[in-house]
Amino acid sequence: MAELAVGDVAPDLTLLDPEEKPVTLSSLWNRAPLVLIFLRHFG
Amino acid sequence: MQGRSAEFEARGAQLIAVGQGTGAEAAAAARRHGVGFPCLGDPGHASYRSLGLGRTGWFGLTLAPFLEAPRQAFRNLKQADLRASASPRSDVRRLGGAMVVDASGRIRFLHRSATTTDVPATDALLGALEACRPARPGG
Repeated sequence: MAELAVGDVAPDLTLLDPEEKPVTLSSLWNRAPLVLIFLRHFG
Repeated sequence: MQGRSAEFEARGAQLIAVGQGTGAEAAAAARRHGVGFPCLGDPGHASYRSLGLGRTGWFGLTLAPFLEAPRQAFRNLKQADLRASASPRSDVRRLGGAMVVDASGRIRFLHRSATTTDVPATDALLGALEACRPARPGG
């Protein structure tokens, strides 16, 4: 599978909010431009 | 990034952190590390893999951060919860990154961290947001 690059359509991933409710990325970017920061830290 | 969230808001952007673990675990880790914006959890790390975010080796995890950016490395160690890091949902070798997506779902910026101390420049993220703005008529 080709690696994602600038200009590609972003994957519509599902993540969990602090109450464990699913949130799709498209539900966010449909509202406004989205900046996602992927944290390295868990602990 | 810290302390500049108002600049993202001024551009009409949503600033969201993604962390490993459940939603609650990711939010707790974000709070511990002083992240001042909402955080979502990814217990299976599917988003990290989907974006091609890499994993560092043991040298890159332990010694290299103290050689590359000692102040940041000490701060990270001080804020870390080592018991949480031992969770099966934690991959301490996973590297971070950033992505800017416009309102049509297109990727406008993508950064894959090469090391544990490699973070995207805030100005680069703000620049990508400027490119998301619709062109002004006649402009």
